[in-house]
Amino acid sequence: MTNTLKLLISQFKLQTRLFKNVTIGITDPGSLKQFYENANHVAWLTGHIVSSRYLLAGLIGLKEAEPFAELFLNGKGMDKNSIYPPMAELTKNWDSLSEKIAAALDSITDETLSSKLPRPVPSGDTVGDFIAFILHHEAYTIGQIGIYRKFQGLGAMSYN
Amino acid sequence: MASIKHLLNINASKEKVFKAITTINGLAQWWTNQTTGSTDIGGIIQFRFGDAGSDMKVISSEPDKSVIWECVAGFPDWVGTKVTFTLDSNGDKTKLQFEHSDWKEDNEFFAGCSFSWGRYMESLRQLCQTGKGEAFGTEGYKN
Repeated sequence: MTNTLKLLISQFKLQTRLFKNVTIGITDPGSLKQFYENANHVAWLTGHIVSSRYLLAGLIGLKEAEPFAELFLNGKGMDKNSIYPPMAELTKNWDSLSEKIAAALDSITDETLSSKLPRPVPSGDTVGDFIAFILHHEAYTIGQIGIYRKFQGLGAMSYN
Repeated sequence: MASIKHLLNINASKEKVFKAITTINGLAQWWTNQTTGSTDIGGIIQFRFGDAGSDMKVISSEPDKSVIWECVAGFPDWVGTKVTFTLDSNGDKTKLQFEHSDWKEDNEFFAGCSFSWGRYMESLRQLCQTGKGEAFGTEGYKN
């Protein structure tokens, strides 16, 4: 395994923990509150992050059925007329899914890393590029949920 | 034949109410969290309340207008009955007409179900209006 991949896996594991820290304490009604009209709410942000990990899982060869695909698959945007699941439902597979992905990343081959994506991401067009992009994307989205924590009177996200 | 009827206004769009009654995720948040199956026309939705429950076949589903189920298994008094949801606009709100029809007998179970459906209609309304229903099996359910 290259040092670069080791660092990416380390960040993946950090964000596995931070995602839980940033969502803890957010109530179901709170998860649907919006800063302003059309702002993405926490329920969507949460489901979007989880959905992205299912996408990653598929790209590295894991066969995991995505729950709530009708709401989040392929980066589907927030829909004010949709019924979003409770936070507990949105996050319930996070640990098990993340463990499987981390294990798969530990043994991922160069061939898989360099295989082409069905469609490119801003960082490039290989699975390796996708891993790099998704880690940025998760951090970006976790930060948005962090703002909602303050908005709802919750404490700052813990890094522990 | 006896029917249970309810009429209520929900402060949400028809699209949202329709999704609440035509997606597994939606149904699981206002009726019972033990909801599985297919909401497609011809599909079977399994609703469970612990060990008991019912299987509903989706007879028709017209987007943002109506849904009809027929009970095909479960509570003996329910088998062969139909459940109809009809949506209509009422200003900014959605008028929901609910009917559980074709009961063979107006008995104690019918009366109990009438009460329960009323509760679940309020749960549906709360889900659409606040995002928090009171489905059986959820923390909001009042036993």
